[in-house]
Amino acid sequence: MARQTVLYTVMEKEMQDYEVVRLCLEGRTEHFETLVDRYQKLVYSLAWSYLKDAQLAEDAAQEAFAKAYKHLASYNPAFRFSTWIARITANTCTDFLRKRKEFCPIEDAFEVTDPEGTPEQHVIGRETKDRLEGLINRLDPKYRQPLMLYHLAGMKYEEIAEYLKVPMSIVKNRIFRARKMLRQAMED
Amino acid sequence: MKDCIDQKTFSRYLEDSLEPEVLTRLEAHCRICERCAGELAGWKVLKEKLREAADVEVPDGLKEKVMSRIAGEKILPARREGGARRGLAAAIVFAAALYYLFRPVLRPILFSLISAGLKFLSALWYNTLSAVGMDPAILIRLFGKIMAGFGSLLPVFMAATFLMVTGLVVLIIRGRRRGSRAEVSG
Repeated sequence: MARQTVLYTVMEKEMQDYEVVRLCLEGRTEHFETLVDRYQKLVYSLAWSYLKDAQLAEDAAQEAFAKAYKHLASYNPAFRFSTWIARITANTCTDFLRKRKEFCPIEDAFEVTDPEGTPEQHVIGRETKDRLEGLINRLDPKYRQPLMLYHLAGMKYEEIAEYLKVPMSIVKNRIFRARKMLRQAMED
Repeated sequence: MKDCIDQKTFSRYLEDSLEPEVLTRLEAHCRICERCAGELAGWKVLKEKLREAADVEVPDGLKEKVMSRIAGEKILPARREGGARRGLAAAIVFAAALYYLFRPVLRPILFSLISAGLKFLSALWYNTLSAVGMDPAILIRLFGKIMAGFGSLLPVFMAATFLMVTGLVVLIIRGRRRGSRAEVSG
């Protein structure tokens, strides 16, 4: 029995997203947990980057997963599950922001809480982060967005390309240029 | 120095995607080249700052909360792609067929409806202008002059109207499709 469970877990880990979705659609909805497990980091990071509030981000992440579950039958396996859930998350966050009637840009996520070290280090660190935040804010959105998706949401190049509906070479180039601009701006 | 490291390599260093031999070469070069060592130091700072910014911890129990939340939920049936467009096209065809079949009966009704609508608009126009202290006759004369020249411009007006209506319909359909897709697929 234990061996069976281990085998089952290993199989589940190796299952492709669309296979997990198929199982859910066949009524074995407990498999949705696998998808939550795989994408909770992406969904939460993205939600946090939009909302910049731990509680709201958690609520938005839950909402996004719930929406994804409800509309699982509409998922098109021709696309990656990660980009699908990322879009749902982005839309959910936009709804949350609309409800809150204030827009907090994605870049504001570059505010790191609970820093460690001495008060001096704290202040210096805070200033550097503020500066980085400011520099990112000044980037053109076409460079800023892929940079955020890559470094903050942890998405891969292919996923970002699919998400933004642009070729991967463009994504790579924009991220490179964004980094280069940041690097140069940090030096100035 | 001719072996200096290019910016793309530094960028790839930032994402830890350099091949081991390239990384070794980069590190060896930076030991002897002051300029590249400075560059590397700058990229290292950026890498660290970006890593810090991305260091977001998923709250404990998120998965369990999601699973308990969806426990009572049902998966909705898939939406058909382009349903709104097909529905609108079917409605237009149906309305046109209906009109063609029952045109002896429908035509007078339609004409009287249009006539009533125009009368209402005229009255509204007249009363509004009178209320704001303007002489409706001036505008009516002006309108008459425009209408006198309308005959020669009729094809232009018709083409413009057709384009505007088509554009409007396309925008509505695209908006609806985008809206429904955004809701479903994000």
